[in-house]
Amino acid sequence: MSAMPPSGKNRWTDPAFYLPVLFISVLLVNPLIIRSTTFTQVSILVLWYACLTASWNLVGGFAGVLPLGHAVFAGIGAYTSTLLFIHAGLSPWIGMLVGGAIAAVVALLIGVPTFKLHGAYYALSSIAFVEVVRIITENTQQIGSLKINGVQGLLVPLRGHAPLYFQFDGKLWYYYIIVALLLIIIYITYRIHRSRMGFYLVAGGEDQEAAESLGINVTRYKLVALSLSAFFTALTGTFYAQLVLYVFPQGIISLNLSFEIAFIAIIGGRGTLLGPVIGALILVPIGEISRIYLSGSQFIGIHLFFYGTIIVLAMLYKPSGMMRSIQTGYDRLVHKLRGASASAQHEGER
Amino acid sequence: MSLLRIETLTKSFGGLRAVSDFSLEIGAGEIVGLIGPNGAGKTTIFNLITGAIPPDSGRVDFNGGIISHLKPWDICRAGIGRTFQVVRPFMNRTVLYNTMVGAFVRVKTPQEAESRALETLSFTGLLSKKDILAKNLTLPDRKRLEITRALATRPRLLLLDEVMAGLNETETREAIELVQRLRREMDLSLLIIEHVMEVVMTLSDRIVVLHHGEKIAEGPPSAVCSDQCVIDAYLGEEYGVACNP
Amino acid sequence: MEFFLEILINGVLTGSLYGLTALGLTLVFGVMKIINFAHGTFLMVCMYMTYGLGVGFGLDPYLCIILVVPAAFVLGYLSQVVFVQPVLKAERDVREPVGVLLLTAGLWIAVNNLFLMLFGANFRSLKTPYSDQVFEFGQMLISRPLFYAFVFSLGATAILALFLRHTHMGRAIRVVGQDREAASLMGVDIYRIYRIAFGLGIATLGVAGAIITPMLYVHPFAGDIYDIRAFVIVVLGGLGSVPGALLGGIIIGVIESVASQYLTMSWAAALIYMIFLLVLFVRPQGIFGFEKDS
Repeated sequence: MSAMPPSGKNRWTDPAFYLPVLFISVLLVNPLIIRSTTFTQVSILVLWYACLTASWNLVGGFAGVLPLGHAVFAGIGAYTSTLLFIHAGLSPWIGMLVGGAIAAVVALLIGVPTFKLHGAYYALSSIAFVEVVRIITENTQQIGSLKINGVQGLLVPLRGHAPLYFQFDGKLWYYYIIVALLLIIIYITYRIHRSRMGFYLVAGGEDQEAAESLGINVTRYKLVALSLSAFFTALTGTFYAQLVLYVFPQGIISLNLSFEIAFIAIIGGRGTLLGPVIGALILVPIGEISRIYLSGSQFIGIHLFFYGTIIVLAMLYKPSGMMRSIQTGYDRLVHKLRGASASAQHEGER
Repeated sequence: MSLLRIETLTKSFGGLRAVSDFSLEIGAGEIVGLIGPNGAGKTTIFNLITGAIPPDSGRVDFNGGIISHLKPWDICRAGIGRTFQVVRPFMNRTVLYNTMVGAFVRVKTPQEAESRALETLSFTGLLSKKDILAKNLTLPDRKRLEITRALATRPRLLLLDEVMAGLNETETREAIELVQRLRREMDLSLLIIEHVMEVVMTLSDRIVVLHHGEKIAEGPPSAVCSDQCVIDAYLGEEYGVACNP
Repeated sequence: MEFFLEILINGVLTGSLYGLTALGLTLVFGVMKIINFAHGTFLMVCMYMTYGLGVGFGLDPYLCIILVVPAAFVLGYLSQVVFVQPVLKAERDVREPVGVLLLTAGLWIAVNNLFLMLFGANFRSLKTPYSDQVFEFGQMLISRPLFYAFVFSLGATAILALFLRHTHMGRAIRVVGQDREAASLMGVDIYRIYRIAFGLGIATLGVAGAIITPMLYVHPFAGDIYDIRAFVIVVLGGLGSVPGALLGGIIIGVIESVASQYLTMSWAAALIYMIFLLVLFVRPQGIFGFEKDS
C-alpha cells in the first residue's frame, strides 16, 4: 500500500497495517460464516481466476506486453501433474512443481522468438501459440507410452479423502489452498514490484529503446518475468485439475481462458498489485451468477453478452481499471482513520 | 589518451550511406559540438555509438576497450549516457521513478537507487518536481528529466541530442548553464547535437561539421565558422547568418 | 492429376474469398495500426442481413450486395465513432497500444452472444436454386456459388485497390496510413479518414457476407472461423497490403485444400498456425510487406 505508517507508533493502531490484516481475516473466515456451497464454489472460482490473472500480471501488466497464450501454461500444469499421478503415482503436490518447472522452460523457449515482436504482433503470436498447442493436444492420443486421450482428456484417479494426494472431501480445503496460493503470488509480485526488476520491467514495457539506453537488457527481464509467470500459472492449472478431477483440452488450453485472464486484468487494473483480485471479484461472479440463474433456453449466451458488454464499457470509460479509484478511496480511508485516532489521542491528552 | 575514439565508422540504410568513414576523438572533460543540416547523419552517429544500431564497418573505442559491437545496455554500463531527440521519458511514472530506473544500473537496492536519484535530481534542479508524473511536465522539464535520468547512470560521456530545441531564451540559458556545470562539477565529457548556433559556439571546445554523412570540417568554433566548406553546406540556412554577427 | 488440379482450383477459389474477408482487416490496420478482433462478428452480421433480405423479401443474395454494402459501411462508420475512436484518442501517447484489440474482443463476445440470444443457435441456410449446382470442366466439378464468390472477391479487391490508388479520398487514406503526423500537418482530418477507412473495411465484409450466405450456414458464430484465419492471411500478406491480402488468402486456401487431402481438418489448421508463427518470426513484415525504416 502506498500509505506509509507514521514512525514511532504502535503498528496495530495504524490503519495502514490493520486494514490489510482485516481484509485477509475476512477472506479466511468468510466461508465459515456464509455456509453455502454455491458461495464457497463461486469464491474458489474467483480466487482461481485471481491467481491466474495475478500470475499473468507479472508479464502482461508490469512488462507492458499483452500475452494471450497463458492458457497453455495452465494446461501444462494440469496435464503434467495428472500424467505423473496416473503413470508414476507421484503426488500432485510434487507434480505441480514439476509442471511449473516445465512451463517455465517452455516460456523461455517461446519467449525468445516472440519477444522480438511488439504490440499487436506479439498478441497475435501468442494466440497462434494457444491454438497450435490445443489442436495438437486434441489430436494426440498418446505420446510414446503416455496416454493423453486427445479430445476426451484425462480423469484424475480418485483416492477419496487423501490430503497427501491433493484430494479432499470438502470444498473448504480447496478454498484455503487457493487462498494460500493467491497470497504467495501476490507477495512475490509485491517483492518484484518494489525491486530493481520491477522498475526494469515497467521501464522496458513503457519504452524499450529508452530503457535499453539506461542499461537495461529488457528482453532478459521480460523472459525472467514470463518464466515466473508461467510457473505460477502452471501451479494454478494443477489446482484446477485437482478441483474438478478432470482435464481436457477445450476446458483449459483455450483461447477463451486466455482472453478471460486478460479481461480480468483490464477491469481490475493492469500492472497494479491487487487489480487481478478486484477484476476477478467483479467479472467472475457476474459470469457465474448469470450462468446459474439466467441460462434458461431463451437466455443462452446472456452471461457472455454481459461479459463482453462490460469489457466494452470498461475500455471506453475506465481503461486503466478499477484499482486506481479503489486505491484512492482506500488511501482516503486510511487517512481518515489515522486522523480520527490522532484527534482521539489529542482528546485523551487534554 | 582520449576517452572516446571513433575510427572510420560507416553505416548504410538500403542503398543510402547515412554515415561514411566518420572518425572522431573526444578527450576527458571535453565538449564537442556536432552540427550539420537535417539528414546529415548526426542522430545516426549517436545511435551507432550507443549501440542502438550496429555499424557496417569501423570501430568505436571507449575508455580503452572496444565497444562497437556491444548492445545498448552494455554500452550504458561502460559509461556512455544519451538523450533522445524526441524526449522519451516513462510517461506514466513520476520524475523520481524515471530517475531511479537510471540509478539502478550502478546499485542494487531501491534505497540506494532512491538516494542516488534524489542527489541527481537536486543537481539538475528537478527535486521539487520529483512526485509529478512525467507526462504532466512541461517540455523544458521533460528535457531536463531526460538529462537527469541519463546522468543517474553515472556516465563519463554524455550524448545530448538537441536538448535546447524548442526552449525559449531563458530556458536555453538555464540549459547551457546546466551543461557547463556537468563538465565542471561532474567531470563529464559531452558530445552535443545542436541546431541553435549560438549555443554550440558558446559551449563547444571543438566543433565537427557533418554533411551527407561525411565530416567536412573540424576545429575550434571560430575556425569552423569561417570555413568556406561549412558556409557552402549551410548556404541558405540560418547558420551562416548566426556565425557572422 | 485432374484430381490434384481440382483441389488446387478449389483452393484458389476458396482462398480468394478468404482474401476478401481479410481485406477490411488489412485496410484498417494499414491506416490505424489497430487489430479489429470483431472482424468476424461484422462478417456474421452481414450474413444475417443477407439472410434477412433473402428470406424476408425473396432477394437474391448477390442482389443483396447493393443493400448490404452501404449498410455495412454505415455500421462500420458508426462503430468507429462510438467505440474505436474514443479508445484510439485515449491511447494517443501509448507506445504499443492494445486498447482497441481488447475493446473489439469485447464487442466480438458481446455481439456474437447478443445474436445468439436474439436468433438462437439454429443453423440457418438461404437456399438458392444454384446453391448446390456445379460447373463441369471435363472431369472437374466446381461449385457454382464458389465460382461466383471468386469472381466477386477479385472484383471487390480490384475496386478497393483502384479506389485507394486513384481517388482523392483513397490517396488521403494511404497518406494517413504512411505518416499520420505529416498528414495531420497537411490539414487532413485524420479521424475522419479513420471513420471512412473503418466503414470501407466493414463494407468489404458486406460483399463477403452476401456471397458466403448461399454456400454456408448462417449462425451467430459463423464469422469466427474467418476471424483468426483473416489475421493469419493479413500477417502473411503484410499488414496493410491490399494485394497481399488476396495473395495471402489464396496461399492459405491452397494450403488448406491440399493439406486436408492428407491430414484431418484440425491438423491442417494447426499447420496454418505454425506457418503463421514461422512468418512472424522470420519475416514479420509479411511476404509482401516492406521493412519499415525508422
